[in-house]
Parts: sequence; C-alpha cells; structure tokens
Amino acid sequence: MKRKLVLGIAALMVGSLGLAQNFNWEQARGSQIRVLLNQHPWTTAITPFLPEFERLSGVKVVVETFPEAQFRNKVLVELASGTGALDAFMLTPNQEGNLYLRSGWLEPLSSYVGNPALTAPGFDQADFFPASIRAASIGGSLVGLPIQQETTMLFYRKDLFQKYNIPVPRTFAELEAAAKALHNKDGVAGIGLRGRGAAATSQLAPYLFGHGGDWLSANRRSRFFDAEWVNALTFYSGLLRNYGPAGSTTMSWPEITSLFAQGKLAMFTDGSLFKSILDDPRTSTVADKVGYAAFPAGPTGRRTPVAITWALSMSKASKNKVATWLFMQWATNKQNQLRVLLADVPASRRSAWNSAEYKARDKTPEWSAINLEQLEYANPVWNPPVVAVGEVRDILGRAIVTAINGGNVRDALTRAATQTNTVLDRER
Amino acid sequence: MTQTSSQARPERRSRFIDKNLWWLMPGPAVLLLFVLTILPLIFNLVLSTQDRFVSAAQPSSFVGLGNYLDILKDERFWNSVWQMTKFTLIAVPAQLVLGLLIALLLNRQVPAQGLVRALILLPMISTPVAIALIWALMFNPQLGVLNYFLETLGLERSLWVADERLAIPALALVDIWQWTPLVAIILLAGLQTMPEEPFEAARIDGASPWQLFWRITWPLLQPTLFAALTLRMIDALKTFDIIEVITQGGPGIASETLNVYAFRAGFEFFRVGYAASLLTMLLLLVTAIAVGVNLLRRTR
Amino acid sequence: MTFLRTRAGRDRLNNWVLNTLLLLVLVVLLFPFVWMILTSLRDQVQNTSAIPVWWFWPTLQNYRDVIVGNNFLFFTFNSLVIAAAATGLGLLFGLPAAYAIARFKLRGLAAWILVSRIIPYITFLLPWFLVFSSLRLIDTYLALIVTHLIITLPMIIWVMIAFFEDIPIDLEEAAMVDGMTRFGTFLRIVIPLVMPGVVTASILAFIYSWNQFLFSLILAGPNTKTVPVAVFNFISYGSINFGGIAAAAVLITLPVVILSLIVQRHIVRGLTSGGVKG
Repeated sequence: MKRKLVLGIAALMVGSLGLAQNFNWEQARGSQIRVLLNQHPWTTAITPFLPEFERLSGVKVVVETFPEAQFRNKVLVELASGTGALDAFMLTPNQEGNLYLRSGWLEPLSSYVGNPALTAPGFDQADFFPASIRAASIGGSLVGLPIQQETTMLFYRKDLFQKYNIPVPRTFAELEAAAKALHNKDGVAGIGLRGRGAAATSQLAPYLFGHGGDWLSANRRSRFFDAEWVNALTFYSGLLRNYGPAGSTTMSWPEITSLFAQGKLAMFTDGSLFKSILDDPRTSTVADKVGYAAFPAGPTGRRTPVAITWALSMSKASKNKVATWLFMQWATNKQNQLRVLLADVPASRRSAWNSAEYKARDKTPEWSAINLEQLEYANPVWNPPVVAVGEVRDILGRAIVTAINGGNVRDALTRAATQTNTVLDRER
Repeated sequence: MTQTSSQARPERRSRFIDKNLWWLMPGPAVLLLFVLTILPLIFNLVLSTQDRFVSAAQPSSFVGLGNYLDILKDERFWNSVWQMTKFTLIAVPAQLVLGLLIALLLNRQVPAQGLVRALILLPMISTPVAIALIWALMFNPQLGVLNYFLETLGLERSLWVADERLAIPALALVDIWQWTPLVAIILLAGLQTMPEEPFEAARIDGASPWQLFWRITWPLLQPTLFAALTLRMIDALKTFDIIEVITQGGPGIASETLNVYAFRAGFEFFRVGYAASLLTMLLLLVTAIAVGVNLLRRTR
Repeated sequence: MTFLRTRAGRDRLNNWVLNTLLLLVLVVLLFPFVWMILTSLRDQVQNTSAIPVWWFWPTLQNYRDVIVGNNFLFFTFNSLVIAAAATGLGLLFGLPAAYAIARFKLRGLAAWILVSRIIPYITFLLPWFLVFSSLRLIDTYLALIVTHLIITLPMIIWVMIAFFEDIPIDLEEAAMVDGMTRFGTFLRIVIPLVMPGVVTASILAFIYSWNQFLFSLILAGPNTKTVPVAVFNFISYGSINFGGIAAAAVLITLPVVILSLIVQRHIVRGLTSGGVKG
C-alpha cells in the first residue's frame, strides 16, 4: 500500500513537472519572499516540501511561524507598517479580512487566477469547495487561496458512550443529557467547550445559530438583546458550569484538546481540524477511542456547524508579487492539498478528498464523511461581521465568562450589546 | 617654534575637554536616552489626542482630550485600575515583610553564605517568560502540582488563576516569589551598613533583642525600606510579562491590569489613540505614586 | 535541658531554629526550579498523571525536541549577540555618564535617568516599530541592540554611580597634579579601580537584556529571533507539551543561573547599590 502511495505521489510530481514545461515557473527566479505562518498543522505539513518550490521556481522562501495570538499581532503590525517587508501570510478571512481589505492591505487575487501567464494550467480554481472560495472572498473580491476548511464537530469517547450505553447526541437536548450522564464517571468531565473569553465566541457561534440567533440586525445593530442569544448563552454556559471541567473560563482549544487527549473529557465540540491531535498515540492516551459525529441540531431542528477557512493571502505592499503568487498557487495546488490532507489537515480541495491515495489511507472515514457533508450547510460567518472584530469578540467573551461563572445572562448580554453598538457607531 | 605650537594645541584642546567634561561625558548617553525614551513618549502624547485606528479602515481625527474623557467613562479602565491596585497592594507589602524577615535571617553567620545568597537570587534573575510558563503549569487546576500539595495537606483543590477572585492573588503570589529576594538583598545591605555604636550603647543599657530591633534597627532601616518600596511599587504597577503569559488578563478581565488593557487596546483592538491615552494615564499614576512615596518619606 | 540555661546553648538553639527557617525559605524559592527540571525530564504521560511522578527514569527527549527541532542554538546565538552588544554599547555610553554624575554631582540628571524606569515599555513599542520599519531595520541586530540599550544603559549608569562615588577624589587629584588630564585620569586611573563595578553592571545589564521579551516579539524576525520569543513559540500547536515547555525554560534560564552563581557577590553589590542610595 505504501508503495502504491509513493507511486501515486511520484505520478503527481511527474504531472506537475510536465505542466512546468508549458508554464514558466521561473519567471521570478532570483527573488526572495517573506511569509508569516501560524503554528498550525497546515504549516507543519507543508514546510518539508518548501525546498521543492524553491527548486522549481528559483524563488527563496523565508518562513516565520508564531503561535496563533502572536501570529495575528505580528501580521497586523507588519501590514500596518506599510513597508512591504511581508509578502504572504495566513489569514482567516472571516476574522481580519474585512479590516485588512478596508485598510488596503490585501491584494485582490482575481486578476491573478484568470491570467494564464501567471497561473499554471493545472491550478483549477473550481476544485476548491465553493464554501471555501466564498469564505475567502470579501465583497466579491478573492483575497486569499483557501488552505484548510474545517467545520464544527462533536468529538466523543466511544468507550464511555458504549460502557454507559448512551446514544451519540443528535440534538442539543441529547448533548446535555449525555454530558449529565457521563459527568464525573471514570474521572471525566461531561463536556468541554471553550470558555476563555474572546476565544470562545467562535465556538458559541454554532450554538447561537442552533437557537436561531444571529450577530447583527439589518441596520447593523447588535442583536445580543434577542431571546435567541439569551437561550444560546444560557445553554452553553450551563453545559460548562454543570458538566464542564474545573476552570473552563481559562480554556481555549489547546487546553480542551489536551484534557480530552489525557482522557479527562467525555466529549467536546470544536473544529474538525483537531482530530490530528486526538488520534495520534504520541499525543493522546485515548487515540483509539475517539468517536466523531456531526454537530447536533438545536431547537430550530437544523444542524448548524460553522465552517472555518484559513487562506493564504498576499500583502498589497509586497514588492515581489509575481514570486509571491507563484508560491501561493504552488502551496495550494492539488498535490500539496493532498499532502496536507494526508497529514490530517482538512483540505479545501475536493480532488484531495476524492483521491485514491487519501481514500486508501483514511483511518477515519466517518470523520471525512462528516466534514464533507457539513460543508454543504455550515455557516461561514463564525465571527461578528464587523471591522473591529477583535474588540467585539472581546466584549462578547466577557459576557460568556460572566455567564459561565453563574452571572445573569440577560444583564451580561445587554451590557455587551451596548458596548458593541458603541463600536459599531465608530464604524459608520 | 613649530614644535611648541603643535604641542600647545593638543594641550589647549585637552584643557577645553577638561573644562567641559561635565557635559561632554554624559552628553552622548543623555542624547541617546532622549531619542530612545522621550521622543517616543512625545509621539505617544500626540497619538493620545487622536481618534486613530491602526489603518485607514477608520479615518483618524484630532479629538483633543476626547480619549481621556472616554477613559473616565470606561468601566473596563476602572476595572483595570482596580486590578492593578489590588495586585500591587497584595504583592508589595508582602514582599517588604517577607523580605525584611529573610534579610534578618541572613544578617548573621549563615552556613554556606555565598551559596545561599546566590540561590536566593535565582527567582529574580531568571527569564520572566520561562518562570511564568512554569507557574502556569503548576497552577493547572487538573494537573498542576500545587493542587496536589493542597490535597496532600487535606485542603480543597483550588482553581488558582482560573478563579475570577483568585486570579490576582495568585499572580501576586508569583510576583512575591519572584521579587521578595530583591527586597531581602536590598534590606540586608541596609542592615550591614548600619553603624555599630547605637547597638552597643543599647546593649550596655540591657535592651532585649526585640527592643534593639524596634528602637534602633527599624528607624535606621527606614531610608532603605522606602527605597525598596519605591522600586517595587513602580515595577509592580507595570507588571506585564507574568500576567500576559499566565492569564492574558483573564478569566474575562478579572486580572487585567492597566498595562495589559493598554496592550490589548493597542495591539489587539488596534485603537492606537485610545491605547496611547491609557498608557499616559498609567504613566501619570505610576509617577504620582512614586512622587507620593517620596513625599511620605520626606515628612517622616 | 541544662544547655538551655547557658547562654551559648541558647544561642546554638536559636541558630538552629533560624537556619531551619532559612532552609524553608530556600525550599520555597527553589521549588519551581526543581519542578521545572523534573518536568523537563519526564515524558508527556508522566507529566499529565493525576499524582505527580517523583521517581522515574529520566528522558532527554524533551531537550532533543527543543534543541534539534527548534533551532535553539541559533536563537541562543542571536540572544548572545544582542545582549553582548547592548551591554558593550551601554558601557561605552554609560561609564562616562555615570562618572560625570558622580563627580560633578549631577543629581538632576541621575533622577532623570530613573525616569526611563518609570515609563512602561509598551509606550515605546509602536513609535519604535514605525521608525524601524520605515528605515527597513526590522529583523536586524541593529534595531534590537538599539532598543535593548533602553534596558542596559540606565542600569549601567545607575549601578556605576555608586562605584564611582566610592573612589577617593584624592587619587584623581594626585594624578592630575602629575599632569594628566581629567579624561586621561578617568581612563587610566579610575576605570581600572572600578573594574569590579564594571563586571557587576555588565552582568546585570546582560541578564536583563537576555530576559527581555516584548521588544523582540515585535522587532525581531527569522534572522534575529531571541530565546524568550523562541521559548514562547514552543507552546506550539497540539496538546500542551509540559515537558517541552519545561525543557525550553531550563535551557533559557541555565546561562543566566550559571552567570549569577559565578559572580553572585558582585550581583548583590550591584543590585543594592542603586537601591540603598535610592
């Protein structure tokens, strides 16, 4: 099987070499580009292959990686400086895209994709999931090439659910019942969810949509006053307060995936990406006991996961745009999307998921199936659609912490709504 | 002839240098510090009068004292001032008391004196980021060693920094651990430079060690105590590394001091003008307290 | 019990109690370091067990991961270059300044230099970043060395004032009577006399430059990243790697600890000279 895989990859490489003859990969030979990346499984998966691009194009790639919070700060500070020292960077378009585009920092990519002199024939934009392309486009303008496409998923402990004979939750009510039934059994907490302020907003979002709520009204006012919001936050914070691990207000995904990997959580909901931590025996003590399920349906009766897209974007101030574009299309081409998928990164290209190589090596077909199915209906707006996203996430984050600590949900949301409206006033 | 004149010139030059040495010598350092600190400070003041976002996404405008008026109405600002005050009021007095006790313990014949003093220094010279990471591991509610100790002692497990009410005290604990040694070392130096005569006179009068301490050591130690107090107050009010690494100001904003809030406002919310005014407020507060402590010392 | 009645016996008991108390203090102060080392030598399963594992077969895998997998030696080199250069320049500018303050009683200047201690470092960050980026100096040793001067220069001046004040003025006057210029005296007579002070000030300046985190976070790049930033990066994607974090923490603390153990007497003097004179 391994041989088959090697052969497959070799065939792909020969394929791309063949294309290279028609397309001039060396048009920016001798230049150097600087790329900022998040410490993310995608980065880990693609890094070993970078020399291949350098050989192909003659472009030198200088990569810097940072943990997520520092990464986001660093990109912003660099772009704000306007020096053009930065060429390409990872971006979650739904978080900073709006701000960066309005600040004039993002190079629109549509003219590159359509230009045969710049884009290799095998690139095939239509191969990306439409949801990923939508997420990477702001106001109709493509501002990044999608590199990974995750959806909210339920991760659970198969052994515990079996042992206590509990069905895999399909609704919020069943989710709560399962959390209640498993809480404090065999040393686990019933459920883990992000509780650390701003970081929790994106994971509250699917619960909000499940209760029928939304971020803003048509005239761009905060909707946090709505009953749907109160219900969603009451439910979310109640799960954590009653069945969550101790100290959940300090937990984001690293803490939660860690707890689960140490066998101290019965289940959690978060991005499908985190599979790679949980089923790796080197990092997880429960590697062979992880179950995957679609995000449960809320009172609306619909399943409402969110779809989170990471993309690779170009700085408008870049002085090496052609070299940068060559790198971006190479990094997101079919072959490399397959490579990252083989490293458990949910790829954003259909061809990767459908490839024989992946199907042959897929240890968790249920995970793949759920991720693909959820993409059809997942909501891409996992952040409040405002320019000052960081600030509004923070405001909401405080309401979430207050709620988890048992404070009055309605009051907390009212306060958050007022503060958010002040921020929105500035954006008019 | 030519020889003498060529000798006279360097002499004149060196006389000129000697006469102006008082400004020639510190000049370069002063200039450098001016460029490195005062210029950015002025830039910061200018920023604070603007409603300025980090980019053109929102136009910037001159608002005069508008940011400062907003700050006074900002509950988050008042929260951060309160957390900063709490942190300082827990950490600094504890450091002074414990530091004095340790200084007294050290101010006698101690076995392996050199080694003991070297070991005591370790917390304050170690890299704050490394220290903060280790404390974060020890605070971990599920797996941290501190909860294991509590349980061994028959006490209830604590959430430490995950508990809104305990976050600031727990962070202050780290600060106390880190900086008590400095206070101890400073006070020890103060103890060791005290004149002998008053002690001998009192001993002849038959004073007990207790009386010796309160009547002689304590008053003589006042200037050193105030120096340590000033130093620690200033640094405690500005504490950043430890809070940012361990709690990032959380849970919620329960451990967000003014310095951390200003960092958020500037580097996460990108409200550069507002962050600049928060920093000005912090600077004013720190200066006022430094001056206040010094005035207090003068009146004593 | 008879020995309690003698004065010597009481003293001995007292001493014993006080030494025990001191030992207790040391245990508390050193425990986090012990824990850091233990954690760095255990694997992830041992580190995340509910009851701390005290006895175990140590592994060096965490260190291997940090050093080999994270280019640690390169970051150490960067930190070394930056801290050494900032300390060297700090001495070059700081020694004459400290001497002038001590000799010419420039009290106002001394106080003004303290001001740089009061200003929060964050205040400088944005202006510096804007200036350095427009000069295209981001990710250069120059930018980091210059900003680290804000740490080393005031510290060197402050520590050295006390040392210069201790030099009897007669010595200098005697040299000047012999025809030496004041500046010549400073270079040839005074500096050799305050060498212990120079060592102290340099080491303190070096340590605090080495420890600096915020400046490097914003102003460094792939070519100049320093160890504290690299350590922070080690909190990488994936589960929280207790052993790796601890190993990185040990590696970054080690040089500082060794330095300070070698010259602890000087450090004590340096730290207290500023404080006591206050």
